[in-house]
Formats: sequence, C-alpha cells, structure tokens
Amino acid sequence: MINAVKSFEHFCRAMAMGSGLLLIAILFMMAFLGWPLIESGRFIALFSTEWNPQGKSYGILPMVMGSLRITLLALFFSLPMSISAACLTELLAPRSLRRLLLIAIRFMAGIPTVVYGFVAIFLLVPLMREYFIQGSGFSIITASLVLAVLIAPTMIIFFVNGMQSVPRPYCAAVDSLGARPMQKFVYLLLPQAYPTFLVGIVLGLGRAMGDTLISLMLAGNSVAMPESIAESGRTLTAHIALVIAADFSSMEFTTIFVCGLTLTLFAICLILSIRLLDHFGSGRVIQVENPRRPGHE
Amino acid sequence: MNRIMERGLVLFCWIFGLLPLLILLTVIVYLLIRGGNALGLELIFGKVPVLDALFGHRQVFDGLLPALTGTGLLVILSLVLAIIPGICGGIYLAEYSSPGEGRMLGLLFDIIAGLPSIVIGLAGFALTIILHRHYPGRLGPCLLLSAMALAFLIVPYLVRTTEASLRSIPLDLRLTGPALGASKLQNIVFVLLPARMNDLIGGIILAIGRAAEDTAVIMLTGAVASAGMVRSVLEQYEALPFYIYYISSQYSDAAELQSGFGAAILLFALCGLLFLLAILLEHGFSRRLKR
Amino acid sequence: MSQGRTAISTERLSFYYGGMTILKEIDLDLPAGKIIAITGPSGTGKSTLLSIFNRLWEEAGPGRLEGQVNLSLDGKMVNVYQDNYPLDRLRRKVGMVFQTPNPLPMSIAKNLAFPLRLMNIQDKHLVTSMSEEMLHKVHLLDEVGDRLQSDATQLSGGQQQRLCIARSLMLKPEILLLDEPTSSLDHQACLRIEKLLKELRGSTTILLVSHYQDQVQRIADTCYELRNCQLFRRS
Repeated sequence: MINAVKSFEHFCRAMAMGSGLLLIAILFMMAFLGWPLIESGRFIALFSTEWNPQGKSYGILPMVMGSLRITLLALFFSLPMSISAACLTELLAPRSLRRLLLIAIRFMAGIPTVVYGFVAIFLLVPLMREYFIQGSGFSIITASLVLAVLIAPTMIIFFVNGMQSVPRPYCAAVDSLGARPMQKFVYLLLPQAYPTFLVGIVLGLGRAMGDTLISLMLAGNSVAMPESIAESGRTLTAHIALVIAADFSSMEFTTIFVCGLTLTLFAICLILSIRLLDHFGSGRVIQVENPRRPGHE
Repeated sequence: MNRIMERGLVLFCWIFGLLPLLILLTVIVYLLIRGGNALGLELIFGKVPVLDALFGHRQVFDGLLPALTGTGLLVILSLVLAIIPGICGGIYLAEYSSPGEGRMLGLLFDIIAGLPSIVIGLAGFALTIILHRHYPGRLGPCLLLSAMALAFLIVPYLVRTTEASLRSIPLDLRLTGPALGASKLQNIVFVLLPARMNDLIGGIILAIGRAAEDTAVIMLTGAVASAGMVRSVLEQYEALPFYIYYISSQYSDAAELQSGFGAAILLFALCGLLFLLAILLEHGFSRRLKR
Repeated sequence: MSQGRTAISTERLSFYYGGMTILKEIDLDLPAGKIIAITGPSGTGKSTLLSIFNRLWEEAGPGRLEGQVNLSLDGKMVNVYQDNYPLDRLRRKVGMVFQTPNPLPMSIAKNLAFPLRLMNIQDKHLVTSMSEEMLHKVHLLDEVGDRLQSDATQLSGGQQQRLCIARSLMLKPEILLLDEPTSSLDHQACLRIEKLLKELRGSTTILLVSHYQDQVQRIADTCYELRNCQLFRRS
C-alpha cells in the first residue's frame, strides 16, 4: 500500500513538472530555430519597418505596430462595454434577470472565434465600407471592434468576481445607509476591488494580443506600416499564420520564430505583471485563467 | 458625484452593458437567417446517401463529414492525451505540492494558459522541422501532431479546474477519510474526487469546447482544406473551424459560401451546447450533489 | 413626539426567506420613541425579521413578503413595500446597526462623512459639526476626538460599534434597528451602549434584537418573542 501511495504522488508530480518543463522546451526550440537570424547579425534588421522578402528586408516592426494598435484599440472599445455589463449584472439589473445575464455572458465566452470572424466578414465589413471608412472595409478598426466583443466576456466575469469579493460587512453597511447602486459602485466597490479590475484588464490585453483569427480575417494583412486605424494592417499572430507557407530554409521563414518568441515574451511579461499587481493589491493569489472561461484564439 | 452624473452613469451602463448581448443576438439571428437553409443532411453528406457515407462505401467530397470527423477525432485524441496530465497535475498542485513549488508550477501553468494559441501551433510546427532535419520523411504536420499541440493547450485548463475544485473542499469533508484510517491516495480517490465530480466534468467539457473551436493551432499543425476522410493519424486532415476560415476567404461560388454558413452554425451549436452543458452541470446538479 | 403614536405597524405580515418561513400573519403595533426588544431561540430568523423594516433582505437573497408593513416617516404612515417610497430614503430614515461592527475601511472622519456624502452633502463645516455632534452623543468624542483621521478599523470593538451607531445617527433616522449590537463586546462596552440606547429613546424608535435576557430587562420598554413564526408579547 505504501508503494502505491508514494508512487501516485510521484506520478502526479511528474505530470505537473513535465508540463512545466514542456513550456521551457518549447521556448528553447523556438530560440534554436530562430538562431540563424540572430547569428547572421540581421537581428537588428528585424526591427526595420519594411517587410519585403524579395528585397531581403525582414522588418517586423509594421507587424509589431499592427499588434499594438489592434490590441489597444480593442481594449478601448471593450472597456466601456465590460464595466457597464458588469455593473448591470451585479448592481443595476432586476434581480431575477441577473442570473440570466451572467449565463448569457458566460455563454458568449464559449463562442468560437472563427465564427465571430466569419459573421463579421459578411456583416460588419460591408457596413464599414459603406459608411465609415475608405477602401475594402478590412482594417485595423474593423478587427478591433470584433476583438472588443471577443474579449468582453472574459473581462466582465472578472469584474463581476471582483465586485462580489468585496467583503459583505462593507456592502451591508453601505446599503443600510441608503446608497444607490451607482453610489455603491463608485464609493465602495471600485475603490475596494480595483486590483482585480486591473488584472481583468491585463488579461483582456493578453487575450487581444494573442488572437490570430480575428486579425487574420478582418484586419487586411497589408505589410505596410499602418498610418491610421482605418487602414489595413497585420499583426504578429496573423504574420506567423501567413508566412508559414513559405519555404522552410529561407530567412523569411526563420523570422516567424522570432515573432513567436516576441509574443511569448510578451505573454510572460503580462503574467508576471499580473502576479505583481496581485501582490501589491490584495495579497491573495488571484486565479489568473478562471477555468470556467476558455481562453483565446 | 451629483444626481445628474449618477443618472448619466446609469444610462451609460444600460446602453453599453447590453451591447455585447445585442451583438450576440445579432450574430445568432444573422447566422440562422443567412445560413439556415444550408442546414440539412446534404450539408454533411453531400450528394452521397447517408449510410454509404458512414460505412465508407463512397467518399464524401462536398459535404462536411470529413471535417466533422476530423474535428471529432482530434478532440477525442487531444482529450485522451491531456486528461491524465491535467487532472493529476491539478491533484498534485492541490494536495501534494509545497507552497513554493505550487507557486512556481502555478506560474508556469498560467504562462502556458496565457500563450497565444498560434505560438503553441508554431511550437508544434517547429517540432516537425527539427524532426525532419534528423529523421527526414517521418513526422510531418498531421492529426497526431495537432492533437498533441491541442493537448498542451488544454492541460492548463484541466489543471486549474482540478486544483480549484479540490481546494474548495471544506476541511471537515477533507478529514473524513483520514479520520477513518484511509491513506492519502485513498482519500483522494474515494472522497475528494467524487465530491467534486461535477466541477471536474464541467472542466473537461469546457476543455473539449476549447479544443473543438481552436483554429490557430490546427492551422499550423496539419489541418488542410481538403483531405477527405481521416485515414490515419499520421496524415493531414480536415477540421470544421479550419473549413470555416478557408471558406471565408476562398469561396468560389454561392453554394460553397452557404456551406460555410452551415458549418459556422454547426460549430456554434456544438460549442454552445457544450458550454451550456457545463453551466448546467455547475448550477443544476451541484445543488443536489455538492457538499 | 407624542406618546402613544405608532412607529411601526404591520397587517397580516408573512415573510418567507432562505427557504424558511420567518413570520406568519403577524399584526403589530409598535409605539414610537420606545425601546422594543425581540428575543427568541436562535435560528428562527430574528436578524432577517429586522431587515424587513429597511428592506435590506432584498439585497441578500430571494424571499417573499406578504401583507402590509407601515412605518411612520415624516409624520405620515407609509407602506414601504407598496407605496413606491424610494429605497434610499427609506434606509436613511431607518438606520441599522449590525451584530459585528462594520466600520468602512477608511478614517473615522470619513466613516462619519460617508452617509452625508451619499446625500451629496459636501459642505465641510456642516459635515464636521454634525460628526462632532454624533460622536458626542455616542460618548466617543473625548476618546477619539484627537485622532479622527486614523483608521476606523483600529478601534476597539466597543468603540467601533459606537462609531457605527454614530454613523447611522448622522442621517437622523426615525427608527433604529439593532441586531444583537452587544453580542461581540465585553461587559463594560455593552453597558455603555445600553446607556446610549436609553438616551436615544424618545427621539428615535429603537428595535433591538437580543438574546440576553438581562439586557432586555435592563433597557427594553416592550419585549416580543419570536416563536413558531409568531411574535408573542411579553411583559
């Protein structure tokens, strides 16, 4: 019996460690494959602004800018929606409706990204083309709008959890003094739960940055440095998907591993900053990826 | 904050808060209206009679059956690969690990969960390149590779769900086993896991949903637009989400576009049902069985 | 306020909450300006009963209320469940003090200013003078008057509870609901609060839930026992 007990523990530890080590192996593998680029000294050239494989320039800066723009814009569009929906679900909607709202929002989190993109191509893009922007309708702002809807459920649920975790005695005190819902939010919930709100925002940021399909299908994928958000643009993630078809041994191909490394480093920075926010904030470990909400595409 | 600002905020919240749900409704309605007439047996089986297709007598070329089976097999395989590392890893974090170890492992799993899925696909692809250099002609992008990559994608979810649900077990229940003389292993297997079986199953269902909808990973590891029915796991295959993406940019006529809509409805329904199932498990049954 | 005026009256009040029946067909007539105690075996829902009068149970969970609950507010009898009386105004007129003191995580001064802030009263002089007046009423002014900017959660239990009473008093409530206010306090602190409640009598109607018989003997004018979903009057 002792053997079985101990070996189960060892087995579980192996599983846990193994998965963790796999991550590190992946990082090394990508670094290894991207090494020729670093070796050949053309690493700096990567950060030039021109991507023209024929002309031997492999600048990925346009893609970095594209990613940044789409991500920040998506966050900008999503934040009002997410905070408002969280307030509705937690404070403003009639009590009988609240549970339904929450289920609907959690349902949204499970909708496939590719379906969002598909519908947007045939519904949103013509709309954008007609009324809002020049050109084909595929642009950074089009992609950002859809991305905003994509990341909203994750942020909403995080915000709601944050509001619910404000200690009950404080809520009771404030309610008994005659606070109206918005007053409760501004004077109690937000000041108390803002670390969780910040973590939710960072998570939304991460998810927006890491998304491939929306920008691939909607942002236009042009390699020029984007001048305005109404123009077509390409993200790092879409770039990887598009270049993968190129010849294996070419330099062009090697750059995608550098893209991959960049994205990975960015993700690691986000997670670490969440841990930092967490320590600075409430002192409890905030669970990063709530298992109830699937991640991103 | 005066009354006017307060009223303004309330109005703002109502307008912008309902917006996501309005958009959800728009998506559903549009899909049904635009693609509703594509639904039917022909969507899946093309011009081939159902029984012939299912028994492999005839190939289905213009139906979704290959893509459906591809996705189905993919999901099953990735679940098989992920379920033991996921649940055992979660058990380890909840029951066995020391705080320092737990924090470090937790951080690693958070990072995996936070990785863009295309990076995971890239890693899978990188694996084939390295293998190709050393063992040319052996392993290329294929179903097995996609399943492995997807498994890596969903392991963090399983770990976190298992860990969270085990951690939520109250002390008095946790001590029941040891109080009766059970070993730690016995306690885990006979007391703790059954107590949170709903949450565990819910987590598994969510992981299935995540694997089924993913496109970025499979794009780089073996999904192609046309490969026929799955013959072996070491070959390229068709998958539903990839089909939808492919159609969106490469449709050649109205009929193909319609099938794209049909596929979108199917995938939406599939993931939606899985999700609802998980939510129901959590809300409904948990009242009866949960302690 | 004249003697014999009714502060709270109910008619065929039934209340179901948390899967339990708390009250069944209660008719009450509680006089103004008195201390009315409610006792009874634990678990019967005395705290929940109290929250009927400021409708606070609605924030916490699903329940059902039948019948009429009338409170005397601003000189008129108002049916608080049917007359569309604004919820926030109701809670300002019917103050509540909880079993465990719950000062907000801010300074003493901010705690006292909070209820006025909810009414958009920001005038510094007014706030300060009212705060001092209420602190004086609860006999806290001499104890903490020199450190009003310090964290309220650092006070002793008894001081915190008196602060919470002061905080409720800032709104000049006509009715004060107290849910076992002294059960987490030591004897000295308990007596101080009892003394305070006796002083508040007359200008405020006090509804007190307590399971300390001696406390009830000491300060209550009337006592009711909650048993079998009924309220029985005791001497």
